[in-house]
Amino acid sequence: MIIDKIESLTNEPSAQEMVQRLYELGLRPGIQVKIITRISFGTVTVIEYGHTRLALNEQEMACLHGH
Amino acid sequence: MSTWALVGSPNSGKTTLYNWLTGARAKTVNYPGATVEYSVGPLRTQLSEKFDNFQANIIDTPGVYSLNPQSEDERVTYKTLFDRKNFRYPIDGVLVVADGTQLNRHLVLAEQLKESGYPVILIVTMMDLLEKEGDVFNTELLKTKLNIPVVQFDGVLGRGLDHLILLMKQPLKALDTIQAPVWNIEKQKDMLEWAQQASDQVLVKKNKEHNSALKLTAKLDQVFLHPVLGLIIFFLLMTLLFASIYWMAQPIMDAVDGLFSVVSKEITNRIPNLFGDFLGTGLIAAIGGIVIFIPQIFILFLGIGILEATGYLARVGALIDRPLSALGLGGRSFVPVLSGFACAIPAIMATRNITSKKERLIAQSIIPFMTCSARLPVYGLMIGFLFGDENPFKAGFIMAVLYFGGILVGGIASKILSMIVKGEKQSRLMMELPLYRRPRFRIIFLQAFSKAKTFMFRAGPIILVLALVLWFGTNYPRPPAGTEMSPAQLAEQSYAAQVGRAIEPVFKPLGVDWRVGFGLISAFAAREVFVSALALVFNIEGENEVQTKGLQTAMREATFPDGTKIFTVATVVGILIFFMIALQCISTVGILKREAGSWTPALLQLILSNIFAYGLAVVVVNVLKSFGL
Repeated sequence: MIIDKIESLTNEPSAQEMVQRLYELGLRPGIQVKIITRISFGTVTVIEYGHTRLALNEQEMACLHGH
Repeated sequence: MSTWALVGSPNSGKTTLYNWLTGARAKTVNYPGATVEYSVGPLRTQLSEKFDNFQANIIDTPGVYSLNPQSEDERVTYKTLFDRKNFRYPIDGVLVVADGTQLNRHLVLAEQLKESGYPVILIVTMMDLLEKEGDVFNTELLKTKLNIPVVQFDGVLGRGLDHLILLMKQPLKALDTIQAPVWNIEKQKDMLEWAQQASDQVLVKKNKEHNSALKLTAKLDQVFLHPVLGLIIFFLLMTLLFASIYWMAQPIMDAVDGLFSVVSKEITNRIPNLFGDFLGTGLIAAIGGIVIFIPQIFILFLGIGILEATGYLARVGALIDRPLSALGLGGRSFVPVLSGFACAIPAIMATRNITSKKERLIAQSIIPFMTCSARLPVYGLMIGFLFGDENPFKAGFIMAVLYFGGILVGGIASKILSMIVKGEKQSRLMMELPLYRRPRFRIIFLQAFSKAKTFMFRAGPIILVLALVLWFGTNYPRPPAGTEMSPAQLAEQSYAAQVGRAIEPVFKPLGVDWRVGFGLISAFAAREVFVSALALVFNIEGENEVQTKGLQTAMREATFPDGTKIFTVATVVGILIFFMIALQCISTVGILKREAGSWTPALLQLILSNIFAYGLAVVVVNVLKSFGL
């Protein structure tokens, strides 16, 4: 998946902090991420970009919009 | 003397460098968020002497992704750097630690720290991994791009250390305004693009397709992160760890037991009078009561150490995020809760890595239910009493059941708290899964040894005081001159017996006498002291033939005045249940207060868990007794 934008569905401060942290972890528009697996009864997605493997819950994964 | 702070993203190798610089043996693991408190140490003497007596203080800090803290551990780093008025060691310069395999992210933090006004030296770690892949790293180019000194550092061999100290020795400029730069998302985005370009230019990959570490991680994750198989492997690994604590340690424990029995007997025979009696059957027996469990403690720390070093633990956190969420926790709680199996104190501190306040409070509250190493001697003694040495596998299975029992109680408590405590509905996971690494067994072995030693020396002074108090209490007052008294008569009129009779009604419902009650009270100083207290109270009080026998034998022969046995299946199970639930460790209560910032949750937990533990133990003892057990 190539990320188009990183955006939270709500404007709550905690959601904004979440988006900020996704950027700090190196995610940004234009970057290609590979979905490795869905674990924990389908609620956690493991993605890979560069040398980084990241586990995201549903709320966090929903912030990544791409094609 | 200058003071340097080691700052970097989680799992970038800060603590490894700190250990090299200071000679400390701070724990290094392979998952993000292991360091939650700052540590300070002076530059190692050998390094200082090698560089013309150069003196410096090094501060290791918890990992941060940026200078915008979002969790308690990140706030520790932020305050270390920017609360200059209140922080004890004003920082003169920052050593930014960046993982060479993650430069496209970690350079951003270096740039942010440079903007803060501090003199900065960039240390690029994981050079061994880059070299293994045949990648070529252009230090000079990076230096030019960042306009700061850059050092390559190899955490395995310590290469780069001399270069780093030479740079630290350079005269430091006077600090102007030190301030954390605030970056919005747009700026962050720009900096990430810049870091990606810089990383691509300074790191020339020999073969873009070849990366053995990534390939190995991908292969292992197919198994360990398999939606079904991954969960099965996790439960099998945990059961193996908990059960092996018992059956792997058993032969060594038998040898230690034999050795202490011989020493105790020899001392009692060779040193006459009361002093020999105190040393042999009192002090030596009490120390032996604890030393015998060192092999179990060692195996526990070794097992956890191996899991931590491989990078597996972070994956388990992700794997069980959903089940933990149902209990009001999340994947980030897993490592702190698992650490609770070693000791609750660092485990409660490790919850600082959890972003959600609600989840943090719940995790802190349930950690004391996990079977910490101090409970092991009690479990070992009681399981040994139930099964003897004949069936180590059955005993190991019961040990695992007790561990899972603690988890179950913690789970129930967590669910109840999640319904009471107000806060966010869903916790943050966002967990980096590090590349798998081969554990460095020498370091894990040394760390396990050091933990076992700490365990021994923590209990040592308490045991000594207890031995003195109990020896005095059971031997005094002495009979009037010219009056002959049997040991039983002497014990009957002793101070200890007088106090014991006063407190006995509290312990009677548990089916035990004042001597076991004394052990239960002593356990509030440190749980493991229960075993030594029993060794003291049953050996000192016993007849001569009992004194040289093991504690379990003394327990089997202990009776009430009417001749009925004190230790039965019912009472032993009752004691196990009490220890599984009760919060006895006063140091843990202190840490709970400190981390929660209030006495209320700490004291509530102390009172409620002890009342519940006592009540449940009484019910179980009486039910089992009614079945004739």
